[in-house]
Amino acid sequence: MNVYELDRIEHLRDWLALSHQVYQAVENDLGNCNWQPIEHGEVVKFKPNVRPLVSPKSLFFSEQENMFVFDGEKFRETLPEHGPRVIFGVSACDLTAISYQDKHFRKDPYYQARRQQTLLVGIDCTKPCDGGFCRSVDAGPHVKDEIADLILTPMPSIGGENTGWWLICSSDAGRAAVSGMDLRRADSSWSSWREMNRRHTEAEFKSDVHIINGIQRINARAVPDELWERLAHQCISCSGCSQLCPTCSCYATRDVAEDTNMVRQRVWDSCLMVGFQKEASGANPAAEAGRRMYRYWYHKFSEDYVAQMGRYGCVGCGRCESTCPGSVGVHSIMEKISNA
Amino acid sequence: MLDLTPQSIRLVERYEDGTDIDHFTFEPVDKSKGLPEFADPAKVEPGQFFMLSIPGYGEAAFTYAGMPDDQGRFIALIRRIGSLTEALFQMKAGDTLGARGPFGKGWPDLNGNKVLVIAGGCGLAPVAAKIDALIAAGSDPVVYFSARNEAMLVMREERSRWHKQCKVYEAVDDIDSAKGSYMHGRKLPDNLKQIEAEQGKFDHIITCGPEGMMEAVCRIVTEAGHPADHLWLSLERRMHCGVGLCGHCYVANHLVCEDGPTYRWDQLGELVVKERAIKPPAEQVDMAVNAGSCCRG
Ligand SMILES: Cc1cc2nc3c(=O)[nH]c(=O)nc-3n(C[C@H](O)[C@H](O)[C@H](O)COP(=O)(O)OP(=O)(O)OC[C@H]3O[C@@H](n4cnc5c(N)ncnc54)[C@H](O)[C@@H]3O)c2cc1C
Ligand code: SF4
Ligand code: SF4
Ligand code: FES
Repeated sequence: MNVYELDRIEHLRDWLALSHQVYQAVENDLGNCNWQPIEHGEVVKFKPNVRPLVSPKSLFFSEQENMFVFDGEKFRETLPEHGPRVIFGVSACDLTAISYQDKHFRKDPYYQARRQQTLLVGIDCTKPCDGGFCRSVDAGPHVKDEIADLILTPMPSIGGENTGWWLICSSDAGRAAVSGMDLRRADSSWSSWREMNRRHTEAEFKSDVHIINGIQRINARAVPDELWERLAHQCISCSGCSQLCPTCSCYATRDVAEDTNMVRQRVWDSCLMVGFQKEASGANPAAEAGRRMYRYWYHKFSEDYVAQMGRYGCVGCGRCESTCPGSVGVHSIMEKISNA
Repeated sequence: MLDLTPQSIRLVERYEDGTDIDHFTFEPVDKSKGLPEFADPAKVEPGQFFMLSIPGYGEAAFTYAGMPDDQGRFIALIRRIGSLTEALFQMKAGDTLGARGPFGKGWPDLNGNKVLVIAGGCGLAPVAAKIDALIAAGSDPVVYFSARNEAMLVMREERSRWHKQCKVYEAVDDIDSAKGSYMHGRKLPDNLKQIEAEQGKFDHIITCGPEGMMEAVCRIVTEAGHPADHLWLSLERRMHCGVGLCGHCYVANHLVCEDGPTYRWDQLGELVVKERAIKPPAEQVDMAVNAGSCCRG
């Protein structure tokens, strides 16, 4: 594996921006971070250890997109078109979610049109984020080699000051993207420093007893229906959790008129909505709110899905907890079901 | 890579075939490059479905009520129930729509077995092509078909053909107002007993209809000693893609569009344990009530 030394992260970003459209999480006036394009030469500081409000999910699985047009006679597919892209500075939980989505959407032409043009630059977290529990679900805090093309990991700091970065080329595409860049080869000490850093960071995570217990209880099907029903009363069906959850992938379709054409669109949907499974006849297998709440968490934590997808559906980002206006985000739920 | 874009099809013919139910024939508009898969008799299996697009109204799943012929013409039995089907019922021969498929797992190969097919209402559509296939294979299926009333005895033409080709039992719930002579639809357990008395035991049973009816059938026949792993049914769930992407059709960790819609009763039972997808069978077997509560009934 090629590993290089890097003084400033922005230097790498600027290099990649020469040949790619680069997206980075940028903080706005309200202190929220969102994914935005950064041009070559643009002076925007890179902030490590942030968890953007939204994951990069929508850069692959668009919140709303056109699938095809019908002109009255023929249907014509409308695939997204753009050049090579870089998603820059993605943390381990979000990268794990992308690799999970890669599996789910492996044969989806719209997702793959975007994904295959995209290079992922990951970054190791050096402290737990607010509400994050990636460590408990094997999704962080460090980036695994196979889920990013390039990985940034900090060199040991001196007096709290960052002294630079190691740049790990973890895929052929990553190596190709930095070839030609003026970089120093790193000496072999990087891997033991990185390992030490990981252990330090992992030790800083808060207790995850409720998560582990909750997962066990879900899989033992030990949570009574009545409790799911009671918990579900706190859900106001805003679908905020599904929107922000980097692994939620459900969508609905709709037809819209455009001039004389008809366009089929797909839009994000959520299994927590009462009409999600409602059939035209009115029959609704998921009519009960408790059933839908169970569904959501079953999809995130069931071993049945581990067998299919190779891991839990939750990557421990904690976004559902911070967005939920009721109190049925991941920590609240797991707390309640593990104590039930 | 999947193709989520339909291809143009033409409405060839439609006629009324039950209350608010029409019998549709479609064919691909462009056959210049051979038949598209959804209209290719070599690619479609009985029990599979296709996604029908009505531009401006969306897309929904419909089962093949007859296999495509060598011209690529295929049949669907469609019930007018919502906005998409309402729009479809406004269309006339020659109009253009879209289709893609075939999707899902078809019925298992039961050729050479003694098979009883039990259908309720529009649930006759998903088993119709299988009945044809079993007849063609010389397997002499026995058909039991039940509907709410005489007007809901769908697929007239197919049934009058089957009457000459195999044994067909017919039942209606509303027996008093019926002109013809039928079994009493509400007496499902008695009817099944009578069929077995006349025909002997069956190797396999296939059932399709409202979920309540299918549950009742499965409970009655398994209690009478029919093995659960020789019992098959077809589920209906809301579907937006048909190919395992949109997530709507879940039952536990299955997606009915890909893993179903046909299931073996014991295997479905395992799923139900994971997520009570099917409520425990109702005490009373009331075909009229059950039939009214499901798309296919
Ligand atoms: C495998 C399978 C096979 C089937 N085979 C047949 C068959 O052979 N014959 C038959 O008559 N029916 C069949 N059905 C049922 C058929 O798909 C529905 O009846 C169909 O959706 C028709 O209703 P509609 O679209 O007119 O209703 P509408 O409710 O008007 O639906 C219009 C559109 O909106 C969607 N929709 C439905 N409910 C909602 C909601 N609550 N909110 C938002 N959008 C919604 C639908 O998916 C559709 O795209 C089958 C279903 C499945 C899953
Ligand atoms: S369920 Fe919650 S914590 Fe888990 S990945 Fe989704 S948003 Fe993050
Ligand atoms: S089923 Fe629910 S939890 Fe699963 S992806 Fe869809 S919206 Fe998310
Ligand atoms: S219909 Fe979309 S996943 Fe089954």
